Amino acid sequence: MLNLPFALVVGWFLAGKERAEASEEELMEKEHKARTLALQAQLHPHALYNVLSGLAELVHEDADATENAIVGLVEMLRMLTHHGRATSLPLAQERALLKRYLAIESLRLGDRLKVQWDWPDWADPIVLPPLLLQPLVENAIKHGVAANPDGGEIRIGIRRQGPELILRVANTGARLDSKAPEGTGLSNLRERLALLPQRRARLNIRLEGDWTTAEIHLHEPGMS
Amino acid sequence: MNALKVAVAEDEVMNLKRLTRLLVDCGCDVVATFPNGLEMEEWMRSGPDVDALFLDIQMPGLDGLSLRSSLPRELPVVFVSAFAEMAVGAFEVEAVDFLLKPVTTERLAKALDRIRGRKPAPDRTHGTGTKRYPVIAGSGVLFLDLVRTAYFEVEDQIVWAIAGERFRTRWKTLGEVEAAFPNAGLMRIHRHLLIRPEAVLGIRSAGGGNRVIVRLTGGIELEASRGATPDLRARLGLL
Repeated sequence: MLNLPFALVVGWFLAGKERAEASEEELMEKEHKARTLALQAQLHPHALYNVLSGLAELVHEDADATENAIVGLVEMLRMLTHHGRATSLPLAQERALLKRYLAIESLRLGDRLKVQWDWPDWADPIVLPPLLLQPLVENAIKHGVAANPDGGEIRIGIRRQGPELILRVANTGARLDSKAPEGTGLSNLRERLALLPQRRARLNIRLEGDWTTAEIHLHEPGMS
Repeated sequence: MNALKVAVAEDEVMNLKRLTRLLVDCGCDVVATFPNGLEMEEWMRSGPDVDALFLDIQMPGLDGLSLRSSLPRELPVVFVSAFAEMAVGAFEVEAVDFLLKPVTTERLAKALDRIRGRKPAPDRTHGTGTKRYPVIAGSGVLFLDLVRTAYFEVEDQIVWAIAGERFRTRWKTLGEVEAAFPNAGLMRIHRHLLIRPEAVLGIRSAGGGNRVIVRLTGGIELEASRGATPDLRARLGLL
């Protein structure tokens, strides 16, 4: 028979081990969920139909431009697959993905799409879960720029404000319909942000004059 | 054969260029192209000489299905979309055809054959063939055959068509209905009632012989005004 102090120590040790296993399991589960959600957040294949149909015509006008577009499209799809599988990536990779994505959308929308970047160099190495900005940019194009006969402008920016890192996508074009139910892209993003409680992550969407602004606020570790 | 005069509305530049080029390749005269539905809607109000429309379904401002519903006159419409699931909505508003992007020459040629099959010959405007008219159905329109219509009724500047069910038309007066079907023999039996005499199943007297009740297909009974009764009797061969 085990003596009591020893049993307590063993019990405490086993409980601790269980706790560690449980939290590891929980962590793995969270990672799995984040990965699954990120995969679901990938660009909807529907967005590609129009682009590919447009390329079927571009080839008659400009073979070099078509070649560049196809290469860009393949690279974008490869990046999306990579981002969908990763749990975290440097923001530089999200920026590269967005540039590819916007080049493809420009092909579709022509002069109607204008893009401005406010992306400081210090933001590139910051490691975050992937595909945080892509759904916001996709949304800005779908509901703002493409929905307006005259198109619109998209501004993508990153800034620090106190202890927070703020990722921002603002757009003109069709106005935000605040009564319309949120699409799957945004609700998926909110779910993924909810998996980052240590970052106190939140998504705010609001109207500012002609601009619809979406901001992700993330608490930066080590910042007070 | 005269070239078919067509107009195209499509918001995506390359897809607009493709459809326009293929239409020209197929022998069509592309009389106008538009980057969105709103501009085509405005152009249509000017009464252009056009035989058929090719409309993208998803366009900013005014989508293809809504544009179809707002057309001031009946025209064959072919819808174009990158999304197969849009086909249901297209055929609900009586599209001649539905093309998936990227449009191909072979498929476009079939759509053009369908349009030519529907296009009335120039000398058939007053014939006795099928006459159809649009009624509002949800966010779209349905086309009803005049021969299935029992009567039209006006209420607060809205003309309703009774054809099994009650449908709201786009006419405001019964005069407009008469003008739309000048040779159909439609007959006013009351200030607010316009019937198709072929839909009359029988008539009976009421109110001591002063009034006439008309029974129409579907079992509907309407009262004719005193002034209209002699004409009605004459039209039905009862005098």
